[in-house]
Amino acid sequence: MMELNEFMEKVLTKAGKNDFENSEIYLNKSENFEFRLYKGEVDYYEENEEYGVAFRGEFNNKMGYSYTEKIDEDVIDNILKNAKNNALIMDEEQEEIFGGSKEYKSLPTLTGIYEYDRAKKIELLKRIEKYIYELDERIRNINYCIYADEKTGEQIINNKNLNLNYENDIAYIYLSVIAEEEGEVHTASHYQLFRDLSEVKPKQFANKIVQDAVSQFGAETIKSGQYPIILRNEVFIDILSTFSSTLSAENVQKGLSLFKDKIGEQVADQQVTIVDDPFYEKGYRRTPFDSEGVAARFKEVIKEGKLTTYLHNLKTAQKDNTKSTGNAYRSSHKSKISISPTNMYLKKGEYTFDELLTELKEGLVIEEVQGLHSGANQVSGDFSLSARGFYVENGEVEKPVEQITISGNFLQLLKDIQYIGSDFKMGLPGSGHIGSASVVIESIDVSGS
Amino acid sequence: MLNKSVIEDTINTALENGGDFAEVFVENKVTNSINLVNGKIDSANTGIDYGVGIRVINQTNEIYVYTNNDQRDNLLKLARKAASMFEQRDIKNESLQYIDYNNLHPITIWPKDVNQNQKVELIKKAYQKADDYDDLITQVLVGLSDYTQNVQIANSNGVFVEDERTRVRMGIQAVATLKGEKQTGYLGPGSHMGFEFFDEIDIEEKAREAARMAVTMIKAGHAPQGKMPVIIDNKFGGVIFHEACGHGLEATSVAKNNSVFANKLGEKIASEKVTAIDDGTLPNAWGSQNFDDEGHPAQRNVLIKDGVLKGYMVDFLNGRRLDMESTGSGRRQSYRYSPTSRMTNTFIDNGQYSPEEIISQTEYGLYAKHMGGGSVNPATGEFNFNVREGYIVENGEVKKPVRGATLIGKGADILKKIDMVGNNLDIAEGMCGSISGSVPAGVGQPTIRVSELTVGGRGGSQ
Repeated sequence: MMELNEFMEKVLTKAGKNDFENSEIYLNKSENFEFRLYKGEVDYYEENEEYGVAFRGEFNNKMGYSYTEKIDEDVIDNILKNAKNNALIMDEEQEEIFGGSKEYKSLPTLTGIYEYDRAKKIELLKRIEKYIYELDERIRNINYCIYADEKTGEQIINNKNLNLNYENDIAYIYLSVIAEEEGEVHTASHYQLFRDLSEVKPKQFANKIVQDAVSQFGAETIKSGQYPIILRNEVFIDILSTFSSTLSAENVQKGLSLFKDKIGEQVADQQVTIVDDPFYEKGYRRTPFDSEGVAARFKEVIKEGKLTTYLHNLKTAQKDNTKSTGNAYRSSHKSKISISPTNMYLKKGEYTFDELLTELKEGLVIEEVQGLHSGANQVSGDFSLSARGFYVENGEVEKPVEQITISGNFLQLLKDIQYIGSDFKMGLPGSGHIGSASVVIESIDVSGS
Repeated sequence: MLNKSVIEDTINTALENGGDFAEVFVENKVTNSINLVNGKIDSANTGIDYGVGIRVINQTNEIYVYTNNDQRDNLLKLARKAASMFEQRDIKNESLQYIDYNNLHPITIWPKDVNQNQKVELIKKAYQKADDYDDLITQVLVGLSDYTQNVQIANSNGVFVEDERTRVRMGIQAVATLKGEKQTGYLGPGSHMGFEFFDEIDIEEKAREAARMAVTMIKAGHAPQGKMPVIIDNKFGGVIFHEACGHGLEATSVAKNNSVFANKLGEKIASEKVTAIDDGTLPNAWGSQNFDDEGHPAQRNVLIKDGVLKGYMVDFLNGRRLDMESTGSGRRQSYRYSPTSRMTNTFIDNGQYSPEEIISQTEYGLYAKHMGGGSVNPATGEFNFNVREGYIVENGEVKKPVRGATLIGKGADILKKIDMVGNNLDIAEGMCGSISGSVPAGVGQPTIRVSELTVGGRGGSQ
């Protein structure tokens, strides 16, 4: 065991002596805290500190990767040997080790949420739990009642004198409830991301999740057919997240994207503007630089329905003879450099949710979809998802609906957006952090009875 | 890995400071992955995952901490800090007894002895077969991964286990394109084996099969929608049982009464044609290992016998909650996760019909030859599956292929509606995600028929 800084320096120095033309260290570290409540008690509590060191180096003009979580003198030779062996089998055109952008945006850094009084965090979640049970006796159980926060840091150091460092922190709560009445069981879940405890409104949060659960009683399937629908904000966030990889230039160049050859084309309704904003204050992926050290920047990926750009890293940009958009991404020290949105969201519209209902007149509101990891094809854009929601008549919610599937194609969906709501929210972060408001879709295939 | 004395001191320190049970999990895992895109090696990575997880339990409350820093001082500090969250207890722990065992999953060709060029050769062989299959194949992606995971698992009941798990897997994805539309075919054969696995299977045949799937589906029309009988083929078809029922039989969801199958032991929950088993002892099978991640020997657990619920899959902590013994089901992705009850190799056992009989006795329905993935809500049992390769069955014969079908329903209903079970049991490989991370899980079954399921597709009602 040795000090991290000493270890990283030694790796880089030794890489130079071992015929690597260029080399880089990517350090990923985090401290995280989580607890779960069950019936008023903290029944799970977790606190960790972790790090991982990734190495990449150019050997014979090809890039070789390796990583380690063991920080020891005796793994250094191993890391370099593994990277060399991996470089030797690469066929793809090489990546580049980057010397740095002219300037980087100065962004706010740690808010201190991670260090904040843990008793207060527990107290906050206990209050939400208590409100939920008090609101409706049909809530049988809260099966997930989770608070988590983390402080993360990324550092890039290379032999071209780049040394970048950024730290970020965020907290979230996630709850899921089970409601039961006369043997009929429904579940609902709700989450919120925040950087300050005061952003969470316990009563409001409890109300939302309880309403969502108990409003499903009496739900039935409906007749198969085509229906106009509203996709609730969280649902459209899920769909956008699933298909966000199709905007990656890497997927486009490999022939794996439905947006291939569509730059400059109208790919969505003209109300649709999708933004990638690495500086967005509510974004989890807030960062001044990407995983290659390129300065991050704001862009409208789809502007008024027109596709303006793909998301690039240095390698894909060079291939397309353009500039990196600052979207190089590593999910951790274990992964190679790929591409991901930062904070990407559909710009909100003007309609309140009630106005969307009025515009829908007759159709369905989809409150939840399942099966995105298997029922959506990123290459073809086809999706078929199990769903639940409400049937709407004369602009008013009539009855709950369950056990249906909605099927369609992502590209068609973007074109069929008729109205965009004002009820904007950010989702749970994945590789990118996606946000959206609710949207009205002209028509979609629904399978029921 | 750690000295036994360091592990022992960590456990002692925890118990001196609180809690009535303490556990240490040490992991050193060497991973390798190589990916090919369109004939070219596109990425290769080799890494060392290393860390220590410490768990302290008091009654049914749990504290988990993990770290990459394996120094004695740091581990004792973490153990003290974790345990002191609980009130002082005075529980004596047992001294650690090393458990000797017979390795059920011998490895012949270790990944570390196979050089990168040999791996590339295997990958390119698969690529070539898939690419040559048909002009409609426009992209082929092949990934080869292997790992050797060494673990030490010790707890205050005196258990001390050292185990080694080596797994290899190849993922082959073929994309077919026609008139601007794309469809994919995929197979992901793997095993709890070394590279001898690739001598036992015909990787070229798997590659052809992935390509055939893509080409068949690109020419297929949309699946119909509505309720109909569904025949689900063997091997990966078992994902339906895994998702719709298996998760609901994990103590994780049973202990807190979050499962539709809670409090139903001894009750008839399925058609009498259904016997279902979770077996972590199958030699060299994908989801097998000598011990679970709590140091309990893997075992064969009968879940459902002739339609009657016989048992759950139980880990240590949920066993306390349920007053049940562990069934060797405590699993975790890595030292970053506290273990919980998970499946190993889960399958519906053989029945009496040949697959041909099942098809010939079906007047109209959907035949799901290859299943994609799915998910389930354990509280309601509502599931959804995607059918990767489907066909319409008419008058007892397999007719035209259909794409984009999704199967939805409730686990408790479908179990009762299984009206034919075939005699061709086989198991395939999957990765299963849950609260303790992503773990290798075998899923399997013979060909089965469900008398009625909701099919979601874009091809209109029948």
